[in-house]
Amino acid sequence: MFSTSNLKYLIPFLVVLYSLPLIPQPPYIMHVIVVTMLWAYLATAWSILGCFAGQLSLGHAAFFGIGAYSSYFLTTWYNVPPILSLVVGGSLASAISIGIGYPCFRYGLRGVYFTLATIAFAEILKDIFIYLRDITGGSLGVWLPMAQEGIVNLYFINKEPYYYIITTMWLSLILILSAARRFKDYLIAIREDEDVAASVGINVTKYKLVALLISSYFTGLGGAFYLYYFRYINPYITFGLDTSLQMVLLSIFGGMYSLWGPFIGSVILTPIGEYLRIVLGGAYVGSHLVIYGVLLIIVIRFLPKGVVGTLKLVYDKFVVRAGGYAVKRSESF
Amino acid sequence: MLLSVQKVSKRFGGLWALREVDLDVDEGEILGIIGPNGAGKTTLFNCITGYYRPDSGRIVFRSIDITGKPPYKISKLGIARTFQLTKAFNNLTVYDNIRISALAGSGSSSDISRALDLSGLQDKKDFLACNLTLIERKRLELARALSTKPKLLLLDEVMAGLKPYEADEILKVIRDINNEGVTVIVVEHVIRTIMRLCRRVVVLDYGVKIAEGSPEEVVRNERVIKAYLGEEFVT
Repeated sequence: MFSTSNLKYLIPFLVVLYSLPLIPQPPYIMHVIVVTMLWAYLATAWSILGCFAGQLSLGHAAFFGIGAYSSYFLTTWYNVPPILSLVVGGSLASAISIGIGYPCFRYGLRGVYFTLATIAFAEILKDIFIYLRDITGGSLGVWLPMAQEGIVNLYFINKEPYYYIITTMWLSLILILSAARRFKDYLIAIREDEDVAASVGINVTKYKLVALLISSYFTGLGGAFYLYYFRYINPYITFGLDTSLQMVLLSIFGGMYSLWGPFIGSVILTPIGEYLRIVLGGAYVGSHLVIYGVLLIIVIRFLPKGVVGTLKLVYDKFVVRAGGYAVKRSESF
Repeated sequence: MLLSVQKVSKRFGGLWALREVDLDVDEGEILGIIGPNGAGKTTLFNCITGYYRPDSGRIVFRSIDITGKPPYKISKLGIARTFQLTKAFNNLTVYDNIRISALAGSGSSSDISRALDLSGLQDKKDFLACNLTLIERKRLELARALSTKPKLLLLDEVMAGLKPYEADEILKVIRDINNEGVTVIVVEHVIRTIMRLCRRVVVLDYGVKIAEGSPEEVVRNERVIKAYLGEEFVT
């Protein structure tokens, strides 16, 4: 799965990642770190469909929301232990993704048309959840009641356990994806050219659908985690276009063609976003979003391959010194 | 008989792209399909490889009815194709292009290097596909099709747009492929290249098969001359 040279870098990285909470920090900083990891995780989940399979979904908030709300209902109505409803929430999101995925992929809705369909899908769900006020709490949202502290209830006073949970979720996603070599190859082939992919024997519809299923499952899991971490959700947060866009932006910013791109994107952008919000958000309402936006424009204009993609190019150019105008690039690891 | 196309028709609106076309391909041969622009050559390929579903008629490959089967299934059965306007996994290296194709088809690692050798792309294998020249892209088309280990190879104008000496190089590659036991159908609208490659030629015009036979017979055929040059050249 990993070559030894990769392990050489991976193990120290993981040690640092997991020992981060050992350094005492104010709860707010810890909160920012948890949110950063959550977005890294969500953007990675999005990138399975969005980057590897090349299907630009702007409706992943739908799966995020379904994961969050179904976990809420399972916990409060049926007293399902949160740790279990987390998994069920992901599966439900995955199941519902077939509703949008099968018609789109089976009947060849490609490119922007697929993107439009995904936006509509998330917006419809948002409206439904706002409208069914008696069941879903409407636009006011819903709160999770207090619970016994512990892993079964996914309720902790401190933020550190949440950090360990989301980091592990992200890490397992990365490990699964880097192990699924052949699957990833097929998705990349589909992204590059669907007709060619089909001509060499790749079942394009099936693999796109599987990519969507996996992507939406992990997104739903992330939504459920969001619920247990913040303990409050409403349709605007969970099903909103902002949520979908955030996953996309972090992936593009970090680097579309790399497993690490979304993580890097989140590590850079999420704290900056938070910082700008604190420093400027109070004084000039909305100005932090302007700066955030300008930053994104600059990066996308000058580093179209994202942070990781650009670093890779630089590395290839100066370290590998392959010469000529093209060099071999290895995907992801 | 390896492939048999039986009375296949395909219409786009009011236009017959193919009209009751019959075609038989024997194992091991190189069959040429020629015809002027818009004769239905590429449509025929798209019907055989599943990109279009024929409106009527049957296509049988190794006694399996493949009419209307999706492209990936047809590829798995052993029919590989190239695209007229070259396509590739552009952001991947030549090697990765071939590797993924072999992985998806029934090719093994030896098929990867065989495809690279035959197409002459061995020393270009670390180049990104988007950085290749036209002839290299055509070679990549061939190599990719070959790496799936096909029994039948459909080549859609692999020589179009190439300089004469480049076309000769591709001709040699096609002969090599055929010598390894792969049956080949070549679509071309340049008669000269077909004449040198095939022993049997089928001529399409406005979706109808107007002639079939050896290249020498076909170029003397009245209907063929009419289709290519116009009425006044028929003697």
